[in-house]
Amino acid sequence: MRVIVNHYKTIRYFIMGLVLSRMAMGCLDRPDCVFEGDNRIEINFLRLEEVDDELRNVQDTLIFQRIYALNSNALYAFQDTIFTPFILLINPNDTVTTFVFERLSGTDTLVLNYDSRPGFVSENCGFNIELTNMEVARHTFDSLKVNNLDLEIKNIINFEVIN
Amino acid sequence: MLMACQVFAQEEEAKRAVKEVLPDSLKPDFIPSGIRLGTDLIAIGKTFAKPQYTELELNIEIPIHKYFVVVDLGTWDVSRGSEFSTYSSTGNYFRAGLDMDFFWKDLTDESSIFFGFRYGRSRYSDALYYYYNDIAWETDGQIRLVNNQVTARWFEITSGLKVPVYKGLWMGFTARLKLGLKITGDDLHASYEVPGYGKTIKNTWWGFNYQVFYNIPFRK
Repeated sequence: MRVIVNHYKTIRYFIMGLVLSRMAMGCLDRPDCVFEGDNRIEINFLRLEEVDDELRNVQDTLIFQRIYALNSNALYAFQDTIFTPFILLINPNDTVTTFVFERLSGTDTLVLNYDSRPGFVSENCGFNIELTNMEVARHTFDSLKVNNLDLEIKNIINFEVIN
Repeated sequence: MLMACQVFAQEEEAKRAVKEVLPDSLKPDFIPSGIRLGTDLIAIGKTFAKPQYTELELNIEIPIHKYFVVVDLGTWDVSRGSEFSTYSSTGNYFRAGLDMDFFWKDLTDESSIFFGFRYGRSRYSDALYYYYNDIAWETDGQIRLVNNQVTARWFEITSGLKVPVYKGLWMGFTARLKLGLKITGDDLHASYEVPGYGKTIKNTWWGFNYQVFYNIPFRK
């Protein structure tokens, strides 16, 4: 007991440290549902047009019979007129996705490769699949401009098809 | 010349006198005074309180002058998750390093406020199970991925306090700033927790240990 009394000041700091550290731990324990991965890509169709004696890329309007991904029943377009950028979803449970663009004039494909890596996020948030290192494996468009292959960067058009 | 020699001799004598009055408790003594064996009370508390959580840690400290050679050995078996996704990791770890008592007064001063560093290493296996149901891809199923031989290393900057509370018994806490985590072998899925380090979601991470030690003295 005498020892405790002799170290009263130190013990006071000790208890203070316990309380402060416990408070800090409480803040750190809170899970944050931050999902870094995203499986959305955005594609746009453009055409070269002469504007004021200058060739520029302008928004194209195309009629698609179908736009779909192989091994998926998801149909992104069916006899639709596409005149804005639109979103496609790559398969998070695979490392390759093939998109098929069917028009009356012909069919084009876009094949994307990427790494898929699942990870646990927290008890409340579950798991997340992080998709990285995306690359265009092949395509059949006349001209494809790649703007962004990083799926973490959002609100940017990933690909531009120029007719 | 003779005067100069006399002054020098007087100075030497004065220095010797100061040395002679230094008490034994203030003289540097680099022979270990004992060994302290301890454990982390948080780990024990969590092991009893939480289901599917086992963590036990042995803390070894050797006080040398105002320094402590520190080795922590631990074992870990933790599962967490929900109905649709669970993560479990099982393995062992160690941390080794040195603490320095910054308010050391003399050998009789038993309390310490210290700063130090650690090198940590962990060897473990971890498993991720999840159920997925992707409407767009019309796929669903259960996946279980196991990384069998994962190793991790990290560094820690430590600070804390230790006080004697009863004969031979010390209590204290250690705050740890963990950084420089490097994991190898987590090929199939990302490691969520590393035994001895904790959650991997941030590059630097805080940790705390509340410890109790028993001192086994080497000499009186």
